[in-house]
Amino acid sequence: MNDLVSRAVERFLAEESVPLQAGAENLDPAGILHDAARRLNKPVDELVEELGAWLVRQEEIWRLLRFCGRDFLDFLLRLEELPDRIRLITDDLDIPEIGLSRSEDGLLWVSFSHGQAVWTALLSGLLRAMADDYGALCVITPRDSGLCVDISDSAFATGRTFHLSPRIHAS
Amino acid sequence: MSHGLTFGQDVLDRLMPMHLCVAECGLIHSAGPTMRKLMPPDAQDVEEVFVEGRGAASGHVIGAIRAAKGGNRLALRLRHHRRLSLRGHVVAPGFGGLLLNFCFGVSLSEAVAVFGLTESDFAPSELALELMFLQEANRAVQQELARFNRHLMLARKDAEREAHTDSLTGLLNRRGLQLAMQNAFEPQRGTPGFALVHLDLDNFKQVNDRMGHAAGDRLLVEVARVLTRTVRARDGVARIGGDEFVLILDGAWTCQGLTDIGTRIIQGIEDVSPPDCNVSASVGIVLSAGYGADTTDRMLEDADVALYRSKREGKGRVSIAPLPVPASPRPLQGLR
Repeated sequence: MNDLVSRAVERFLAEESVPLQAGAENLDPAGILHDAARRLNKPVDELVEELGAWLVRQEEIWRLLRFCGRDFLDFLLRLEELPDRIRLITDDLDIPEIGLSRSEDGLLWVSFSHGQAVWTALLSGLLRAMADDYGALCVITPRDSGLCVDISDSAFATGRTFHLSPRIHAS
Repeated sequence: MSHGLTFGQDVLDRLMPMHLCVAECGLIHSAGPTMRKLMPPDAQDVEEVFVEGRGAASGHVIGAIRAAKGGNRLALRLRHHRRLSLRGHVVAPGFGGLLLNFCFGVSLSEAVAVFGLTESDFAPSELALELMFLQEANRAVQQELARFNRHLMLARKDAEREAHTDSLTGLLNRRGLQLAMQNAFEPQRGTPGFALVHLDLDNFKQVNDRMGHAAGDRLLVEVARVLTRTVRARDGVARIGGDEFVLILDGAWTCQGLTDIGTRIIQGIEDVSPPDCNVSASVGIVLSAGYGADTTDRMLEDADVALYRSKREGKGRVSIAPLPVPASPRPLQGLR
């Protein structure tokens, strides 16, 4: 399964036209990303965020994500399920537990049991792309303690149509 | 908790979107919202909606429903979509009639595709969406793994081909030749044997000495071209040493036929010789009759003996080894 993660990272970098350096195939995904960020001269968080958005653009992954919520708010509120969902498919990936809380001002806070930095970056890219996909208007801000999500309009625009059956193609 | 519960239709619809209330005779009183999507619009009787599942033998649907009252699993198929099986159970709520509740079981993804069902067609307590999620995740992972496997297989094939190929000429190398000979002796091929042609260039050393090794290599590539041009696609061509080549000529051959092809090869090689070098070839040939997969080394040695007879007798000629006399009586392999 880790090979699949490496492959996703490699495909992402290939599409971003970042050539893999010789010997990169021996690095783990985090190593590859750090190496690529250094050569692109951009912070690794930014690259990981772009990776999060890229994941949503992959048809198979997009479909799996859309199974996780009927609208963006539902998707957010069920983020806690995500690690268990991933463990349904494989148990050899190290996925942190995801915590969700709501502050009195109505903001949603997403936190991670470990790997705070990389998961905050990955999820901020992924959530922004998913909000777009569902047609929700929201502001997602990475903070030290995790992600802060402020949904101003969960039905701002028409979202992309998702059919439960992969055989029915979205029009 | 002994007090009875009474549910209104809307509560039943939300709790069990795939329920059905029927009379003992099979007349349909009401159906949940998802169940209604599966039924013909004017259906009034369970017989119009279902057929019995495979293996059931009561002859009519209501019989199967009544039989499941005792707590058995009820398995039915949709009359108009017989690939879709539903499974469920039946209770008699006590106020007359029967209450049935269903789910799709393993027909789930088919049903979702056929009826265009959405998340709201399933009760939140159902695992339908998780099942579909898992199915798609599995498929995606499997596709990726299959891609990995294909990639590995191609890499292995490349490595194998490289291990059996002479890098200068692209012909088989000694290992490739050995495999090709083993294959040629495979009993299931049922072919009438083959001829092994061993050839060694005459005066090749002069080319290397006078014109350098690069010219020598170029000539070897030329000779490889002559050889592959002269034989058929199903024959084998190998370079097993500096200027030593071996051909496997498939099929039954006469001495005359072999002499002809040997002569054509010698002529072809003489034609590509650099001027004043007089490169030619000495050829020794053995027939596969009398040899087997376990005596390929002896066969090569005998071809070598025939080759040296050609050298001794003045080079640029073809010698064919006499058929070996087996030491003990044994069937001649490859002969018909």
